[in-house]
Amino acid sequence: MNAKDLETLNANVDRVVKITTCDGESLLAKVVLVSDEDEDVVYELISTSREAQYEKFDEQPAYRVTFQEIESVEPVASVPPSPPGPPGKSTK
Amino acid sequence: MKVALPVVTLQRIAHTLQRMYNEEKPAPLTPKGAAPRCHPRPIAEVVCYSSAPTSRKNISAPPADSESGLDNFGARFNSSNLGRFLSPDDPSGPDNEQDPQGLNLYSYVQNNPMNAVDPDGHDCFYIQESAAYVIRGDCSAAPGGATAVTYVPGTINEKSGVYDANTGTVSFSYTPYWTPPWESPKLSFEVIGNVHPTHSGPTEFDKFVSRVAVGADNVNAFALQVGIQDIAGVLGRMIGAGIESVLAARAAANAAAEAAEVANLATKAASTVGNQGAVASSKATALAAAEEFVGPGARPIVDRATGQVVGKISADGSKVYRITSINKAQPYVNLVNNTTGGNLHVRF
Repeated sequence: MNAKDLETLNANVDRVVKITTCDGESLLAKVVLVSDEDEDVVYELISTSREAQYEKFDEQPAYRVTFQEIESVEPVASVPPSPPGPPGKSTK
Repeated sequence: MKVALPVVTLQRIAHTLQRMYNEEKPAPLTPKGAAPRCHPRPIAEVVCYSSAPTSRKNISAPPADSESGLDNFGARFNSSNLGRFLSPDDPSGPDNEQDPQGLNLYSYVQNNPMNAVDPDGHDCFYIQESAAYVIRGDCSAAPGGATAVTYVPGTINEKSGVYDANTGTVSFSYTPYWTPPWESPKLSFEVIGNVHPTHSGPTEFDKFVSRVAVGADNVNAFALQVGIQDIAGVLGRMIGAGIESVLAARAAANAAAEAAEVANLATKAASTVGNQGAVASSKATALAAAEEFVGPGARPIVDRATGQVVGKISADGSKVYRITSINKAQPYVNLVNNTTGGNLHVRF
């Protein structure tokens, strides 16, 4: 994880980001907390490419991932941009 | 070879028993040796003189006289059929009108055999309101609320009292009145249970407490019990209020102090802005404060790699505590308030 990824995490607290870990897992996570001191991120898991490896709990826990485990971070737009419409015709 | 008693002998024994029962002061009988055997007691329990020990050490189980069928308690005979002794007990003190059972020196354990036993009808040990008492004679002078009532088959040496705080056991030595020829003399007895000897009123047990107070060998036991070094002060408070109440007050004070500390830490974390630190008296206190900080309904935070729970997040997600740094050289619990953006490091 580079400085830009950290900046992305800090800029997206309470928002959804796509995190790719060093072991290849790709997950969508809502960032709860980014700790420079402990060098980790607390997040709510939204979806993952390895759902089978997650233990099932009665209530959905939050998760922690360390900076060292993160390969890259990408912001995810909360509202997808609307597709461009067909070119309109002037009525005039 | 088994020899049956003549009918005349049996009739004489029955007649004698009836006469003794009707008289106010029947003549005592002389103990006679007999082989040990299990014997039914008047309270419908069967006890055996050589049975395995129970929680009450001096379970009453005398041998029966083979000729008369009476129970040989050493100093006195008891008739299980009549449910009383055949000779009076030693007077143990002034009569107490509030304790009419104590006026009957012929009764077996004040007619309360479910709560007391009487090996020979003499010295008595009992507990009442956290105080241990030794009284001479039988337990007719023991109050109705007494517990662990133990009749001792001999003369208790009240100066020999030893209290083991670890086991809650108090033990005394005594001089036995009589020992069956098939057993070795028992020179001590102990009462197991929640026993906390202290001073309460004028009793023989005063000497035991006094002996402790002047620095006899029991001081260490009491010091262990209370866990502090101020022996004289502790003993003074124990004597005044009783060990149980002192310990209860101490426990209550500790609990109150811990609760106040937890509340203060949680309140401080809720209002923390920026990075701040605090020190808890223990790891348990720090974690309790963290739990109170995130409140009810908090969910665990699981480490993605190890699956270990490393903290909790409040139900609304605004408060987090983590113990991820708990294995560091200076362990702490990190209380994070997302609303204020504050961090409170609670070290312990």
